[in-house]
Amino acid sequence: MSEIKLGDQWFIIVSDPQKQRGDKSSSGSYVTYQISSKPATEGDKRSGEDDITVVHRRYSDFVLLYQILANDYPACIVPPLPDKKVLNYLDRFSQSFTQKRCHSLQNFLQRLAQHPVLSQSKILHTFLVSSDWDAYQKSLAETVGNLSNKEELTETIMNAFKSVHSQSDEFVEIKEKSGKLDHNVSKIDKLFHRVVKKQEAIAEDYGKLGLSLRELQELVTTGDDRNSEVGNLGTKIKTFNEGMAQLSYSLRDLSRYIDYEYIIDLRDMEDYIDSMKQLIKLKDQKQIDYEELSDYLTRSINEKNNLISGYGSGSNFFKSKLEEFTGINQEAARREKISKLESKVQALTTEVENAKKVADAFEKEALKEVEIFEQIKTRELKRSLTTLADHHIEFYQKMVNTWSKIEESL
Amino acid sequence: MNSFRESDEEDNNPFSGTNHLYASGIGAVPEGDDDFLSAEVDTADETVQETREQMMSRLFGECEGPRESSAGGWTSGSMGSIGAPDGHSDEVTEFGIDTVLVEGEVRTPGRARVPASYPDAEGSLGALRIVDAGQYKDTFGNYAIGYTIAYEGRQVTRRYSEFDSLRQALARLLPTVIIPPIPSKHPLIRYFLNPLNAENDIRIIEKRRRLLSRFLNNCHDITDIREHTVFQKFLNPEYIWSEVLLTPPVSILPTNNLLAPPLNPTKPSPLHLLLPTPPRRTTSYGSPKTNNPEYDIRFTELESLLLRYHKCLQPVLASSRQKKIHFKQLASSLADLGAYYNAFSLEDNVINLPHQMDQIRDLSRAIEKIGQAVDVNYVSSELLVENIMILLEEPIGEMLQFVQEGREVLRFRMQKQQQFHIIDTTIKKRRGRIEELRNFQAQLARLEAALKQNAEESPTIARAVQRLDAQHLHKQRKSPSGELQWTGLFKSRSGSVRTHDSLTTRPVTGDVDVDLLSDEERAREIARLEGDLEKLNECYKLIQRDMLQVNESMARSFDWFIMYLHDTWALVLRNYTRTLLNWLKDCLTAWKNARVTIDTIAV
Repeated sequence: MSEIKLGDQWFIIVSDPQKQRGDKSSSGSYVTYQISSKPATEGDKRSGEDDITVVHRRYSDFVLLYQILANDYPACIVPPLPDKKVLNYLDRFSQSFTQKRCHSLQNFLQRLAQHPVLSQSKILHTFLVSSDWDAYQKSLAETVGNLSNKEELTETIMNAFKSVHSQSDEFVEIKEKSGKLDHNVSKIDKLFHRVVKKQEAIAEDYGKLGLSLRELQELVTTGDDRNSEVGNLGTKIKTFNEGMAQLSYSLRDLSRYIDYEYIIDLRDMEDYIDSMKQLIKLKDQKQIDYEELSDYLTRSINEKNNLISGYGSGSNFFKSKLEEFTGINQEAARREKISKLESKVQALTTEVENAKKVADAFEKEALKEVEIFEQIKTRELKRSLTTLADHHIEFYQKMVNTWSKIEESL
Repeated sequence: MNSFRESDEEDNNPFSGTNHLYASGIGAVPEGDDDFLSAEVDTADETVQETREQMMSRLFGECEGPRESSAGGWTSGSMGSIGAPDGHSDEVTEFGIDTVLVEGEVRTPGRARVPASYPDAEGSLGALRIVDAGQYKDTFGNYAIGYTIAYEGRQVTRRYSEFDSLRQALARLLPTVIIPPIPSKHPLIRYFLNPLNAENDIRIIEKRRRLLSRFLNNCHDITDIREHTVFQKFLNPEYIWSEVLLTPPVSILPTNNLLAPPLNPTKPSPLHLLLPTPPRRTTSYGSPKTNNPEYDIRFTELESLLLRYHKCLQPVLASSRQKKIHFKQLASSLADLGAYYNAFSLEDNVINLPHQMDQIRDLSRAIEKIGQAVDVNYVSSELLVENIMILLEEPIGEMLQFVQEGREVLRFRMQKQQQFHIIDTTIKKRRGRIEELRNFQAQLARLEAALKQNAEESPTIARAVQRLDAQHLHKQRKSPSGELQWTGLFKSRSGSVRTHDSLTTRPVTGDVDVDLLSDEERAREIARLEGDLEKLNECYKLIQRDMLQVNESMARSFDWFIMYLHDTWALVLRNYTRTLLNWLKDCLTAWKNARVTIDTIAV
């Protein structure tokens, strides 16, 4: 298997969610996200600051992009979008919501940009740079609407409980491992959620402590000023208190980062794993199609052989007797049947071959996709871990500096 | 999938199955599992383990202060658990030796000694240290939890109830001094809710050990207490405490300190017994003035200061408790998180491709490092929790108790003040009465002289004078002897002298109208009142001296107390800052390490 190079074509930042007043009465207000993109420098450094293209897109535009990609590249793991559903009690325009979605959308675009196939798609380019997107949008939306693939859906449901008979070891492993990965990531996600809550509670505690310390400070400074040392303690408490306040703020900042970005990364990762699982399921589907067909083929061949070789099994014997009884010309009927079966077998054989080809090709494609997924995932993990570590380092470094100073002054 | 889930949760928890300090509470590690102890001896092979151990020892090493030089208590501490029937043979031999040394108090080493592993907030200042706490056998052969105090090269073991009685004795012996508080008795309900298990017990003992040690050092810091014979006897192994309590001065303490010399209640002073007893419940409002107005103002200010302190400390204590709980929860979440990162580091890929093996390995290492950072975060948070308790919560609780004690002492002064007031007003009242009586007598004499003069001229008037005299005689027979007891010095006498046919219903406090008394009665009352006054003046002198002593002694005590409050706060702030810094630094290092490893991932 050849090594797959990830695409580095784009450098993308999604930022600055802005609430927009609805132009027409129907849609009401909506939120746009600013997308800054830049083709990555490929060796030559010709691209500078000017190459940054800025466009504004709203969530429904992302959805459209996703649908088109999903239709055009059925064999690719198209990165998932953040959930559409907005719970009623959640403010759709609240900062926490739009910030989180913004980060998630950035993850989405970055994954697309790294994908060797998807990053080359015309539609992505249009989406990222073209001002014509709005014009396309309408007609595209209609087309996509018509493309809804109901057939596939029913088929998938029908075959949902069937499983593949023969499975390559690679995919057994992939399935098992992706399950574990998913499990771990979701656990970490949940735990971080708890950690964030506790950190916020602690930040609040520090705030409260600061408040009561301020009272103490007043008490100490006003209570008795005969003693020179007293004023000293007052300033000490003040210094300490300022440190507390900073600790409280910084801890809150750290929590916010984790909540707004890191947890979103983890959640997106879960979704991405799900998408990959979907692809594998689709691959299994193709495999199942092929297996069913070849089953059918063998049965047909067996039947034909039976007919040719005369009365095979007991059931056939009774059947022929019955036919004899009703006065059907046995011989003629048999010959007719054999010829029918023969043509059927022939048709089936080509079908099976096709299905085999499709399944094999799909499997190959899927394997490639999984490999791409693996690489994108590693990259992404590295990025998210780096920022996680950076934020923690920043927090602790800042606090160490602050408190070292405080320690000196005490 | 299901089986995997279970297995991974168990296998990847780095602390499952072990009895780590941070899992079961530091210092509460049963025998044999004492990782902390072994950390200094053998080097663990696991890297995760190692960083933790290093950090623990570093943390402990830094904030501990001077640890006990002889590690005897330490090593023996890890040998036995409470109630374990070991060390019987030791006991016999120890008995003989220790009886000579400690006079009947037998220390049995090897019996649930709590290692002195806690950083002592006041360790550096203290002249006194409790070096050991655990089971010992007292004079009567009963097992009890004893606290071994090291003082001036000698060691003595006392139990909690003895500390308690010491404190009570001191409070009564030195009513003008703020006696440092000791940890409160545990509420009885705790025994029902949480039946004592070994660990719990050890935690309580540890806490008491710390707080009792602070108590002793605070006592030692106060001259009045330090030099007191009772305190000295408490620290002296040659005295059996229960006997100290039965001998003077403790045994001869007066029932009411208000009726005794304030600086030395056990010194007999009959005059003090004459002092009035003011009501127990008195407020500072409208408290009478003494003739030391600047002291009055000072102590009224102190009263309100203490009240504000009290109001201020309570929320601090509450919020620090809250914080402790939150940190505990955070720590447990972090523990889980660390465990999952470790699991994640083993299962972070979905496909094994030969050309990606390096990348996967790097990623695994990076994730593992993150897991380690989280673990460090967790362990140091646990430590922080312990330290919040030791360095913030306990001193603040102590200050709160102390403030309460300070207010108690102020109340004593208030009562003294009341005494002064009562004597003062009584003297004024008596003087007024004498004046009144004398004036009336003089007036009467003048009147009589005038009447007599007139009677010589008029027989009617003469008869009237005769009748008046008869009435006086009649009244005299009826009035009971107004001999007063000493105890009645400050009581109103109206009841005892009241005429039979009470023409006037006066309030109880008032004296009988002077015109209703006979000459003789008047003369008697004047004589009696003058006798009273003489004694009252003595009382006045006494109470004035008392007030002066009380004021001076209390001023000293409060000066110390304010210093103590400031010192303690400064110490709390300093210690807390140090712990916080340790926490921050540890986490910072761990995350920096993780960061370096992340950078090695090639993508």
